[in-house]
Amino acid sequence: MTDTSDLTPRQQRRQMVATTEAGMHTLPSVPPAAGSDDQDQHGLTGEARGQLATVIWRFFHDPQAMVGLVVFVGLAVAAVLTQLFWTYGSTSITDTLNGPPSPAHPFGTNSIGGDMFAQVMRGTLQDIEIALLVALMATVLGTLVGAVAGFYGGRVDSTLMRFVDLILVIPVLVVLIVLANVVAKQTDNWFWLALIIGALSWTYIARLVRADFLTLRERDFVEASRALGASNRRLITRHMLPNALGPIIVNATITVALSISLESTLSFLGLGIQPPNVSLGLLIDQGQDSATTEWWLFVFPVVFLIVLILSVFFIGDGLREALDPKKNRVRA
Amino acid sequence: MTASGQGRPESRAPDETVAGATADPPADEAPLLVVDELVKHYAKRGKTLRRDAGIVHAVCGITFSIGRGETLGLVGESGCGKTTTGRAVLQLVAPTSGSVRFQGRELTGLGSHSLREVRRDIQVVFQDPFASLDPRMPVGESIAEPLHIHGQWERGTGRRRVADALTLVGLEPAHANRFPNEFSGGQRQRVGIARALILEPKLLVLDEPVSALDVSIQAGVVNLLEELQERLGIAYLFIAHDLSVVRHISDRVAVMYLGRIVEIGTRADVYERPEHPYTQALLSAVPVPDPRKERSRTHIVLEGDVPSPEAPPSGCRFRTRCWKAKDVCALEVPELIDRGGGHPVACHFPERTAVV
Amino acid sequence: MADPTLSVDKLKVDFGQGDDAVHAVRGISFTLDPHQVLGIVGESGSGKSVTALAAMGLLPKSAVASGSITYAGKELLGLREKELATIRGVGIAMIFQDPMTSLNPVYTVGWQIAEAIQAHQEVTKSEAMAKAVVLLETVGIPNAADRVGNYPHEFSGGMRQRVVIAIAMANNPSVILADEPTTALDVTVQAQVLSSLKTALEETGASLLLITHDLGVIAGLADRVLVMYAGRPVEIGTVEQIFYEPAMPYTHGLLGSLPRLDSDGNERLRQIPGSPPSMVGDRQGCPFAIRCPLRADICDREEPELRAVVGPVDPVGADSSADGPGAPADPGPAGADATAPVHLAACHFADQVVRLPVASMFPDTSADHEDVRE
Repeated sequence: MTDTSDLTPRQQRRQMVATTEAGMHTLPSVPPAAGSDDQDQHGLTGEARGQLATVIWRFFHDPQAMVGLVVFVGLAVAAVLTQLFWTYGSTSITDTLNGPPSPAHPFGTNSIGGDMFAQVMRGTLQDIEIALLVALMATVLGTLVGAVAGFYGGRVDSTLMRFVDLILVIPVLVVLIVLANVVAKQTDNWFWLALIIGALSWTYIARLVRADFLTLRERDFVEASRALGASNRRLITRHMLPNALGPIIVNATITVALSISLESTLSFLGLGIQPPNVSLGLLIDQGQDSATTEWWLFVFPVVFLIVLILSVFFIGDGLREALDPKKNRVRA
Repeated sequence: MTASGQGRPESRAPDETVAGATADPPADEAPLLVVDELVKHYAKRGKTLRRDAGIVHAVCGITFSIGRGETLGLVGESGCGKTTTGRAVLQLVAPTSGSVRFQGRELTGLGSHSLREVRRDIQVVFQDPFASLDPRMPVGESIAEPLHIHGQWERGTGRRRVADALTLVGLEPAHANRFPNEFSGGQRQRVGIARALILEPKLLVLDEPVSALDVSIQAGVVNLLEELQERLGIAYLFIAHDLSVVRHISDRVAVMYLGRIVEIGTRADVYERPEHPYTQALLSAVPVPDPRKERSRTHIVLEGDVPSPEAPPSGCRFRTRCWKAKDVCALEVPELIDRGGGHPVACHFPERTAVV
Repeated sequence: MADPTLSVDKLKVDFGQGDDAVHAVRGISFTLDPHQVLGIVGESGSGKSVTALAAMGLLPKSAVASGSITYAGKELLGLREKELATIRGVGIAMIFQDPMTSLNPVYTVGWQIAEAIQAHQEVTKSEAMAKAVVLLETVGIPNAADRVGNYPHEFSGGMRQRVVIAIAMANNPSVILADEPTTALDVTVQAQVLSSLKTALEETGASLLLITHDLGVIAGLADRVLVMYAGRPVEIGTVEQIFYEPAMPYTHGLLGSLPRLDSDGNERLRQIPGSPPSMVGDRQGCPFAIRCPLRADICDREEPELRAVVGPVDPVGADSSADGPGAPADPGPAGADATAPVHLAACHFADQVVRLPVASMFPDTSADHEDVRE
């Protein structure tokens, strides 16, 4: 998985400790609304405007992030609606063979008469399902392992990290290729596919969370809570996890994007989703030969795949910016 | 919060000491905290294969006590071990050896459950007001956290106690659901103090509580700490490097150098009648904001650097920078005893000199 | 009247633009006369560090500076790096808070001093090295002849700062700029470094611009003091005037809030309520007004100019007008006259304030009624 090194603990800390001297007011990262009074100035109700609200505000005012969000949600919603309301299903067969886009079949039909629109939408939905499942698995597993390793340190840490290294060493593709034959035969094979991908992609989050926890452990407010008598469990859940959430969330979105990509590659190679199930990768595989002649069999799946992945990346970028905006602060 | 508790003990004769031990609080009251021969060594991660390589002798045999409602100032420069001492008292680090007794009960080696009980009565305020509060929790929640941890939280009374705590430190109760980054440094420090006081501890360990604050804001927090002590009768272990602040707030003062206490006594003893050359150098080095006075004082300028805590000098640790050092200083560790000056000093050749 | 060596006139420094702009420095003027020590004092947000950066030509690119900084008649603001480099080290030498800002970790200390010497003087390498040893001895580094071959990381923090002072002295500069030179150091180390600094001044005859928040250090070194608040000087005077006859409430407050090493510790400290204002955006009136016990309507309307203070010794024709304490009888010139010790303060009631016992107007309670930022 790629490196999202931007959100290092140091940068998060720098965001918190915006100026070096106590007593100086922070430069507001959000310009105060003209004539603002006691009322919360961002239109959010409630008295406290906390970190969460600020982050949300920043996210919703980032055009790129909003585009990504709208597109992603739009695709998901469209895919679901298509399942429910579109005339054709992904397995329907019509009489029109290799028909170009038309009012009845906006994306055309394929060589056996299947409606491409239904197929592309079904494929999109399938990709989203897999990706979300993978992200969920990877995040939960990665956070758990990383938190335990980072918090306890010492031998626990070394053992866990050796385990992580072991997993990292295994090339995902090889495993998948090996297991693909077994998995492919299952009816519910998308679920198993997601499981395998998830089991192999949690390691990056684990390292990230571990690094964060190692730093957080030394932070004064964690020491302060420990001095108050807080139990380890309390320290982890109430203090350290919320503060490590930033990179976890950002990485989760990256995982979503990358697992879509991975799954598409696999399906393209014939090792992933199998017919009669549909995925965008599979469609691309099926359509690649006719790319020049029946362009609609190729172009639509490709475009949708690219748009889907990009939208997730935009969301991830937006989240990262919202959590740790880059500003120049000056010591006076 | 109740205003019970004793204020400064009035039944104490000035400069009263107990021979052969540290300058103790009045003998008619059992001291609240007794630290005896506390030692803390850190092993540095194995850089070389040699056995003894890289031991940081942070604290090497500290003995002192604090009575109810009084303030002991622990001063020294970087590397003297005062912060480590504070942490060891709080059991945030486990002492290598020695004892820490609070209200007669031995703290070292206590199990986590018993330790949590004790933590109701010993609390801490850290240096950095930015870092000591969880940035993602509203301050009211941070202040209420001790109540949650010790099972004292109830819906109605809990909120009221938080409000009371905020008022006690001079902040507005209405601001309880604000986040730390909306407060100034001085206010954050007050929040930290409120959090430390909500369980009404008997002893508060303050580790450089005002060093990170602007001078004009320090004054408010220092005044607050004094007022709180008068009202609530809390004892303070006040760890700091700023000698002016320590003089202002302490009843008794201990001066540390390279892991040992070199001089301990009442405030007047240490500031007006210092006997240890290091104390004298320290005091004379502090610039006084009074031009005529500052320019007419003698400033003792020490030679050389502070030795590394990994390789402390034999015998008296200050001898490498001391202008009086003689042979015996390298051979014999001077004990912290009263040598006729009225308060304990760890020097073979103490000499009372006023340097302020 | 000697020609001032460093002169700053109406310096303003802004960061960013529009409503969001941070007005770090809002118009500071002073002159640094030869052989003089001027201390600039302020807390965080006062703009003193930005002023120092401007004087050193080290402002970041995002800064917009206006006004003028002249050295020996030459305008420094807007000068190109190449030309600035010719002045730095030989005309104006700098000492920063972190010695590692000036020291290169990969060269020995002796090499760095020698290099500084050779950059501006026609001497051989061995001559320069010899001078380096002498300089190290002057600043009090023991075993200078041996240590001249050591690297910066082999010195402690205080020693490093003394090496920096040695480099600063190397070419007999006329001006030394020191920005918080001892802030990060332990107090006995600070004493060593200050002693080295004093030696450097004696040996080179340079003038010193000392920027710090530590009033004790100022009391020991400065001839004249400039107090900054919210980006502007609010009081200028001799060190005696500032410490014994402050004329601006903020100065009173600063002095009163300091715990004194030589007091018996039984007096309450006097605190200034509230905290320094934000530097963003424009404001009206005196920036200290909300914290000031003497606040009156005029304070909110009009930001006071720096005006000469009529001291307690001089008679004043105060009028008894109905709206508050009377206006000063004779404003006097706002510029600095190097011969007469001019005492300037930016307060509408400076002439009354100067007569008050130091800090008596501030409360000695502990409550903080400052509002939380929105």
